[in-house]
Amino acid sequence: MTADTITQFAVYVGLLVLGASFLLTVWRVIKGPTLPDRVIALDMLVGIVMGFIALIAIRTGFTLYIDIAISLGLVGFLATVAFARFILSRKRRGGEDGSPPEPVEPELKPVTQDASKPAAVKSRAKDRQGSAAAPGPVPERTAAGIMPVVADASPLEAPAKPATRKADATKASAAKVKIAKAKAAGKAAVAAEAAAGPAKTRKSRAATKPTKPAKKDTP
Amino acid sequence: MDILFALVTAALILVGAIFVLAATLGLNRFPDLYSRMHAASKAGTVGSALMLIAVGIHAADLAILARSFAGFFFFVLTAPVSAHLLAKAAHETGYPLSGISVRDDMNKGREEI
Repeated sequence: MTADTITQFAVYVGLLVLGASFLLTVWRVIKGPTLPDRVIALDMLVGIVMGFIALIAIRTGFTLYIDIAISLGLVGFLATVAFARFILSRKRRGGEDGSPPEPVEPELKPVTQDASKPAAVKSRAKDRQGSAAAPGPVPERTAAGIMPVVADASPLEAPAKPATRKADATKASAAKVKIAKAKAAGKAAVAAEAAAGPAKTRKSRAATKPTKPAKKDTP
Repeated sequence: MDILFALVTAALILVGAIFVLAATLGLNRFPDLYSRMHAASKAGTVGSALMLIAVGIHAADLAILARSFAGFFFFVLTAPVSAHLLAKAAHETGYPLSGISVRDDMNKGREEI
């Protein structure tokens, strides 16, 4: 009798704690700024549900639940691997998933970006797009293409210390460093493309290029 | 003897619950994708695995204990694999580290290309 009481009490406490953990993890799934955050949280949810199943197996005495937990773990593992492959094949998008910190940053960043090097950005954008590509929306597209790279690191540190957001001086220097990094990354991408397709003619590059920003713009 | 099994089961359940709670707190509090992954894939895995072992000990049957250990090893072996794969995919795709991180060794080769 007492042994049963001890076990039932432990199961009760465990169910409460697991329920709280489950809700916190669901909060991370909802809030997670990027897709990998959500995938991690879903992986964690699978683990928590396995714990739930184990506790219910103890509570009801049906040990067949262990097999269900094992198969759930298998499904969760396969789902996480599939998501990892999907993330690997997918390009990273700016303003991803409508995260709250993202819309705040573009107000701050484009000022420093325009002040520092608008000409270089524009010229690079021009030779990326090709001369035949529609010349009208070029600056708009560069803004859409460059800004996410610039603004990417800030949303993560923004919720940690919101008090430092007003400190523009340090922010501006950090932004410059990030712009430089983004430029290096973009240069690397251009170089990689040039190395990958040297046999392609200029015309074919101009023809293939405009599809890329269009794909990037779709939500 | 019965009480011993019950005590061990209760201890495993409570420790597993504490591990899962710690993992969830880390998942919510850490600033970074990769540090969140560190919390979720280690502590969360251990928490759920301890509860699986608790089922096997509570049943006091060798076959069920063997099955629960099979589940334990399966889960403990596959969770790091999936977490590593996810971290590598996210890093390769370009998801940034948090602003307070000091160094990123995997980024070195990529910038020089």
